[in-house]
Amino acid sequence: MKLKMVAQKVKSFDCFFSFLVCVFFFVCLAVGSPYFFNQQNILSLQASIAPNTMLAVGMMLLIIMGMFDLSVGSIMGFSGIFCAYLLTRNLPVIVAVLIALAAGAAIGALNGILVAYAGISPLIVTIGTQFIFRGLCELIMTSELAVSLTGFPASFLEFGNTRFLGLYPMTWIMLLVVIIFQVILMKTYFGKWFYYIGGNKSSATTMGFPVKGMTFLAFTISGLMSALGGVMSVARSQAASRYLGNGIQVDILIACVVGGGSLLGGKGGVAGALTGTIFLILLDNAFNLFGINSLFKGVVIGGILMLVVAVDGIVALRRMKAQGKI
Amino acid sequence: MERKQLKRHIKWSDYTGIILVVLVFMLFALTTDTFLSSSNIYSILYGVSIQFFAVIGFTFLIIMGEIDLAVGSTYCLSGIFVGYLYAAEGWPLWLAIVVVLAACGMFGYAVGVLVTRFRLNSMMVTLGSMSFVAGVAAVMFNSFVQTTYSQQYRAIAKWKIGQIHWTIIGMILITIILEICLKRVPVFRKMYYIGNNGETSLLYGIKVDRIKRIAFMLSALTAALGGIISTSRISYSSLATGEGLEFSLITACVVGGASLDGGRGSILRSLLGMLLLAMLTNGLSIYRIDPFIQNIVTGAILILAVFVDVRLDKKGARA
Repeated sequence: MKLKMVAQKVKSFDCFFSFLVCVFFFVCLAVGSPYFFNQQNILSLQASIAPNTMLAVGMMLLIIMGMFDLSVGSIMGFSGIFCAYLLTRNLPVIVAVLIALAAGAAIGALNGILVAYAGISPLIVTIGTQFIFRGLCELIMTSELAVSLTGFPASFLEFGNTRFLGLYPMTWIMLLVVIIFQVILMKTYFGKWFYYIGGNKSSATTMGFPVKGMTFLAFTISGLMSALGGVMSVARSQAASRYLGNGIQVDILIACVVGGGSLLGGKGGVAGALTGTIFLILLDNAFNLFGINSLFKGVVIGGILMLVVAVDGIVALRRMKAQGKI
Repeated sequence: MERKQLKRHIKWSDYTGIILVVLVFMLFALTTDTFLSSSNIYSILYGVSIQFFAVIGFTFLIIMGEIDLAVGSTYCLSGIFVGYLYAAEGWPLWLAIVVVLAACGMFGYAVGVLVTRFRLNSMMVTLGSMSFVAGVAAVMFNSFVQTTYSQQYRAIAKWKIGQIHWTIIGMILITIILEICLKRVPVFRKMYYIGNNGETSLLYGIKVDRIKRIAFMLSALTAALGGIISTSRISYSSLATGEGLEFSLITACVVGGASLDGGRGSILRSLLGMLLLAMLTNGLSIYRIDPFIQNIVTGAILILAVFVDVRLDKKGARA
């Protein structure tokens, strides 16, 4: 009896589906490919999971509130490149990283101000900032006359490449961030505000929740997280490429939707951001390990996303019919 | 009092697009020598006239408050698909084009069925179909040897009526016809009702779902048509065709005065938005300003246009 209740509670998690798929993929890969547990493969998996999850965490907070941020890829690129630029100018590592993170948070705050206080839709604002900061990335790279910036201090590279208990420092940071946000969302009153606002914005406003302030905060966090992802990525790959984070926002959005978020708001969790991201990365890995043409990746991801969305819609429709709302 | 406010509201949304176009046009015309030359103006018009096809169906969806993010990848796929059937499989060109248009239209209709039947958010569904179609395009692109297409395929975009490319004439005619239709013909008027309030229009007996499904079909169809002409113009297939087109179409529609909430926008305004973006790209490259700064300018103009509009309207959140 108690087991049944536990099972029901587990099933009610928004990320349940993506978690199952992740486990399925993991088993498939572990059984099917001898190279999966290869040191090199595990490391490269971490190197792509950790930065992407940081972006997905910020995105998920916004998705819970019924918004999204298409500028995460550009913020990631700008912060990473800016950090690299400062490092090649011989600034201390800590200072350079902090400035890059502050820049990311500031861009997020700009998004937040435009959405919350100027009343412009998140889609428009973040498409706009996506264009603007991708342009600034190119501006820095062109002024440096380089395709990618390299030559960083050793302590910065250490952050990206040392291992602690088999995992990169950035993976530990990622786990810490996910746990902190998950606890805040599930256990604190403050965390519930995100869901209330996402569930029904006008009621939340009427009830006196600080909707504008929360919107601003969520965008700022998203900017900060994207910057963190960008810095991590640069530290690991030891170079800041011109194309850092280019077009990644669609992948992150898909990861969040697969991980149980809904663009309508009021649904999702940071754990889902993690499982959704892991799912996409494992899928990518499967294509590589099994030697399938990676061109089919887009077809498969698109198909899965449409399937998830459709199933989600059918379930919601059934529930509404059962409640007699249609 | 109320009527007065309504009047002012409509006025501003009517004119912001035109004012911006005129301002930018004057700016470049007065400050550069080459911008006003007839060949330059013609090249801007020709470039816009090809992308214009993709914006037709897209605008219908925007008017109804829906969105189709797959336009860019459909634009990319259609050119490659025609090339595949024509160059690799040896089909006659006209048959290849008809088949591709039909296939893309059917896919768009299927997306429309998904959206309307299960009441899904069109943005989420088309996020999936965007990735799906782009994947199909990539697979198809790599399944046959890429060469420059033969004269017959390349002739589509080059065909002229008199001295003018047919796409420009088509663009002008389509704009005039659809603009009149959107003002007068009931089916088109219904789109605005749906965009303003879907549930009320359902109560008044408008077949909301059917109109939406057809609009999704049209969106895919027109995007495919634009893609075929665009591929014909550059004379080879490329996966970069139509990259980011969905964002520039959204920008064009919104700068032209549409709202993402629906109920506003028209073909003419979308066209004005596209002209504005094309003039900016053109004018800034006359100034020898790098393409990446054009990105910054485009982004800033998008936000600024909407911001000014929100302030002018004082109607709260728009778009």
